[in-house]
Amino acid sequence: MVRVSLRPVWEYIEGVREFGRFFCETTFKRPDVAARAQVVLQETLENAIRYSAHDENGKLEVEITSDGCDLRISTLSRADPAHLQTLRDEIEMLRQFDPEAAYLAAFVRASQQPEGSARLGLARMRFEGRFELQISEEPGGHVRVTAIGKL
Amino acid sequence: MNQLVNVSVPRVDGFNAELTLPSLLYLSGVLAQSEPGKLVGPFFEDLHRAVVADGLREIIVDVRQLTFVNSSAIRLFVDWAARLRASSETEAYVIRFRTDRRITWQRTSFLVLQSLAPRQIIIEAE
Repeated sequence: MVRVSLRPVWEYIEGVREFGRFFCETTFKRPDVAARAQVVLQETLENAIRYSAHDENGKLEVEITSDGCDLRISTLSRADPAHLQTLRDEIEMLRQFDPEAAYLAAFVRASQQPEGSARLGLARMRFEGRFELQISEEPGGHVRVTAIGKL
Repeated sequence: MNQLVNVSVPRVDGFNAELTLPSLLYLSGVLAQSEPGKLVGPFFEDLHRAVVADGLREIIVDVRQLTFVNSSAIRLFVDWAARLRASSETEAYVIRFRTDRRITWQRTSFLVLQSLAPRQIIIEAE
């Protein structure tokens, strides 16, 4: 339905997030779906940009698709290899908890590590966005993070 | 001397914080910058210290017009809750968050935030 390709720079996040919100609200006529999509777009784009390999080939693709039942939001980026395993482990850990318990666990962890990074985004997408997360590697060192939620 | 009056309010594009004495903080706009902790974190720390120094028993934080935040901004509230929880009996106070249940992030995140300090965080949802 929508595919956006851009350089992985922070300044683009707001524009893509707001376009995604507008697109979902207009297409599905559901403000709640648009609000959930907005959260997923913000958090996945932040992750992709923070942990992308920042070289001249840097590119970020965002896709929003739906089969009428599920909404899928995916980002494709060239991930920093050092981050890839962390991301995989985090998604795996989250799957072991229901979304609310995982979000609370992320809050507790953040409160105990005041100097560390927040690491709330993935858990937030599951609880607030009601999306499940998948990660897959693609040729050229690319990683695709896909968030799938019920419409 | 009232310490709250000396707390400097941060200036951040698209985000507004207004402090009204004796104890109302009004937040509005969007907080989704790359590092909100650097921009707004010191303000929340100063606020906590001032509330304790002034011996206030409660501060009201009205977030109803804070329409969107990223998870790094949510972390600021987590840090504030952690400071509250670590406060001694004499320093203890309550944060009363005024929220809008129609705004998704407020409905979900403040519910979970309250779990961190249930006796010191009160959520009012309209």
